[in-house]
Amino acid sequence: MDLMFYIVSAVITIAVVMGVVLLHVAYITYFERKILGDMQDRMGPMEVGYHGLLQPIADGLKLFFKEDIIPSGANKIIFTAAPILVLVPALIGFAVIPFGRDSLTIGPFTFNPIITDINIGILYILAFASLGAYGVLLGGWASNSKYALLGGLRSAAQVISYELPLGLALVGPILLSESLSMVKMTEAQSGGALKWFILVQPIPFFIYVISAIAETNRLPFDLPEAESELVAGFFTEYSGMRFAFFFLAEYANMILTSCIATVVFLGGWHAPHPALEFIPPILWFLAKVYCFLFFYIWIRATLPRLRFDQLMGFCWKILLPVGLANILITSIVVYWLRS
Amino acid sequence: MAESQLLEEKKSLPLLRTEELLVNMGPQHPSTHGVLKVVLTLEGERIIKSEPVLGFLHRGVEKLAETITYHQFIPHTDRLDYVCAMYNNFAYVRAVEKLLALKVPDRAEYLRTIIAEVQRIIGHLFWLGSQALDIGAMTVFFYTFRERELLLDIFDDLCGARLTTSWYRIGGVERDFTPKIIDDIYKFVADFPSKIDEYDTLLVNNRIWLARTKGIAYISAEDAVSFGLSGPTLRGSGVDYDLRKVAPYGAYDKVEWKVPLGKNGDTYDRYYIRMEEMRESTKIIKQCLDQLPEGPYLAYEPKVVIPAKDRVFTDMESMIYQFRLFTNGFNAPPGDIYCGTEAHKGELGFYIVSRGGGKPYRLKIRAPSFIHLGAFDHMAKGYMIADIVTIFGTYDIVMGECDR
Amino acid sequence: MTIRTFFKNVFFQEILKALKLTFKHSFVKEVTLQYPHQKLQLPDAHRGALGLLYYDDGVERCVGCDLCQAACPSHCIRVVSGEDQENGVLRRFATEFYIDMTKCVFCGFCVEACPVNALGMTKLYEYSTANKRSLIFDKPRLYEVGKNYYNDAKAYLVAHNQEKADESAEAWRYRFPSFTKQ
Repeated sequence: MDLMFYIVSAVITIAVVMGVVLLHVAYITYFERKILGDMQDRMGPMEVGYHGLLQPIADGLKLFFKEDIIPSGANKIIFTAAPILVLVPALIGFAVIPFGRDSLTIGPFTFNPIITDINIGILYILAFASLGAYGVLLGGWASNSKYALLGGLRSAAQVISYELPLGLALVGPILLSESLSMVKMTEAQSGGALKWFILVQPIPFFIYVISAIAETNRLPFDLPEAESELVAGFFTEYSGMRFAFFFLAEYANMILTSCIATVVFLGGWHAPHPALEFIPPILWFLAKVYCFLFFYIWIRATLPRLRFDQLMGFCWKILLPVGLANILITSIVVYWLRS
Repeated sequence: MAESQLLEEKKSLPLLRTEELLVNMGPQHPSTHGVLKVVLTLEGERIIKSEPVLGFLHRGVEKLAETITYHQFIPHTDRLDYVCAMYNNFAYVRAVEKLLALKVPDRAEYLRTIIAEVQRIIGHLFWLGSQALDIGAMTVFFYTFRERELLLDIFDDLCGARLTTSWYRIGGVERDFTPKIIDDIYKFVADFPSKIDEYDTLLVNNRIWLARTKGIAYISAEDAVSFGLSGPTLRGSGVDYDLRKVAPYGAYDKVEWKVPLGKNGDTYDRYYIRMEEMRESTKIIKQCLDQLPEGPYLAYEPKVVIPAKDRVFTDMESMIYQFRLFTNGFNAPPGDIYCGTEAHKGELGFYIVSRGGGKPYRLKIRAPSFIHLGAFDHMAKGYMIADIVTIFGTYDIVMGECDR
Repeated sequence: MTIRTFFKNVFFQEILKALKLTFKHSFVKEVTLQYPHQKLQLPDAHRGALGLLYYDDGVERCVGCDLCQAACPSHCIRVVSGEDQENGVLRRFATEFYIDMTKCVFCGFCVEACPVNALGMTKLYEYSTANKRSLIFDKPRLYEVGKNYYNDAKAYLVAHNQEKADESAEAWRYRFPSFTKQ
């Protein structure tokens, strides 16, 4: 009987998390358009609903009802599978994100603010995130379009390259918290903003931010979909729901990387000061995630796009050595402190 | 430079089988500035050959000119470079006036100069916005369009249209400035330098912008001259050639201003020059407005210039000329004439062959966009495919003018 | 490289400045208009759709002289003139008048050419339609536009020095004797 209750509550938790995440994905597009509009002295969407609040739903409906076009010469199976291959790894990572501290008990059901706390949480996310590159590459290749092919190649190279500094940036906090579990990492940062890893590890945080932007193909690193050169990069030939899948995956990835940054560097659900603990932890978590997302959009409003070779040069020549140096220093310091 | 580098790269990888990739960029590509098509031969991501294919926007404007009177052709010049209609009007009416040896009143010259410089600012703003958007800085685009909008509103107030202005007339201009327009321009000129600083904050020192523009689309001074480039594209290579200084027209010789020059002949220098030119233009506008003389804004030349309406109503002669000029046009002397004008993208020239009568026998437009595209392959060779949009942008191409 | 520029580079000083600028701009009032709800205030000189005008006493101004047709750079005007004789007085007028709005380039030359100021440009710009043929404005449609937007057309004529705003405009009117007020 306990097992059944456990399964039911787990399924409900998964449904709630997925639902909430997808809703946030939809609305982050709205916030992006609004914030970009504000920074550019214009208004953004205003027509659908009050101040355009229903715009994401209208967009979703529009994409849903669009004709589904598969270009001639495209490899149908891979062309169809690619969007799913991109979306699933983006969503699956949310399984190990701890959104809050307290579990909720209603009758026999216990709902945790995390779907599952596996002890290699961060490794799990990284492993699945790198799977997303396959979807992009296959989608670009299967479209039978030169722009899509170039976009897919670029994306694969970019994602694989930037995975390294991303992983290296996370090693520092892992060394400090002595755990790969997301919950343990959050707990290691309890006790006010001074304990957050961003203060001990500012350079890895910086590396993480840059690599995260590159991982999610956002400006200034949005080369795979650089619309001025490659039309729309790897999803040039996609339309309708398949396009929406790529789109959702990109924004879901944005939220996922923001969540990781929050957990690993910004203290997760902890309040910046013990006196502010009365505000529910989940709100702190959301606030931090949204700050990070705002930064994403802010960067997009400000910077031009890098060129492909410059992007790779930046990764291999600057971020990688700095990340390695940081691991060296951090491990020496940690070893010295422990002994 | 690039070719030898390519060869070395090839030599270092002798065993790999490589294949060139042919990409048709345009005419339905989001950033080819209209309907330009470029056939690119790529070696990986590097361009080894590029071939612009023109003519998608060909409307036969030059042939059209032969069928209508000189006066009627003014609105058609609006549609050449639809971003900067005023300058096309200016270049055209100057050519016709040169053909007729017509003297334009002083005030008209000043009015023309002011509006031409306003149009130059609009052109550069448009260029900056689209170039920045191509390179990915989307905010600059909206900021430049914000200022452009103010100027277009002034145009709307002045002549009734924002883009297709047709304000210049053979012998002067269509309508005088109202006090409101003068105020608006003064206000804009006072405010504008701070706006240029705003664009600079976003771009001029930005390391990504520098990386994307420095050393891209390099052309040496000798090559620039032999390809017939003009305007900022030529001055970016350090050649001091500006028709406003070399062969002054309008009121350019009566005001103080400098010709900004580049050194390296790359995209960044051309960008920098255009920014400086906007600053110089504000100076020219301000001085012209301060010096603006009183007087008529249209020459009194009954046989050529369309008479004022109040004279048409009261005076039989004028009424006859009104009918004559609108049906047959004026009788231009036979001969041929070339007149170049420094538009914001380069030398915009009109070559008119007249055999007498009211219509040109042949009219040829020397469009800077067209001439600049001749150097495209030379300037694009060896760069990455990501640079191709930078190279498109650096000429400031408008296909309406290029294909005519 | 001095230490100063080194630090500027390491801390991304110019990018931080740019970020500050865009952040500041999110508090600047928007410059755009929400078009169907808000509309731009058009100046008097604005060149919109063409309309044919009546005199104040309701007489058609147009005398069918065809000069607008001759002046039009895009050949979009077609005038069929007619005349009739009432009480021994010859009257000229346009029996048919077409302006093809799909060809019109809004240059205002026809207004400039008209010797009786019968044409005027209005501030009307919203006449898009699904039926392309309805964009060929015929005589009744043109008079309707002229009637509905009479003030705009009048302001246009004044702004472009075609007509004076004061009483002297009356004196310039070119009319045939039989239509003057008795």
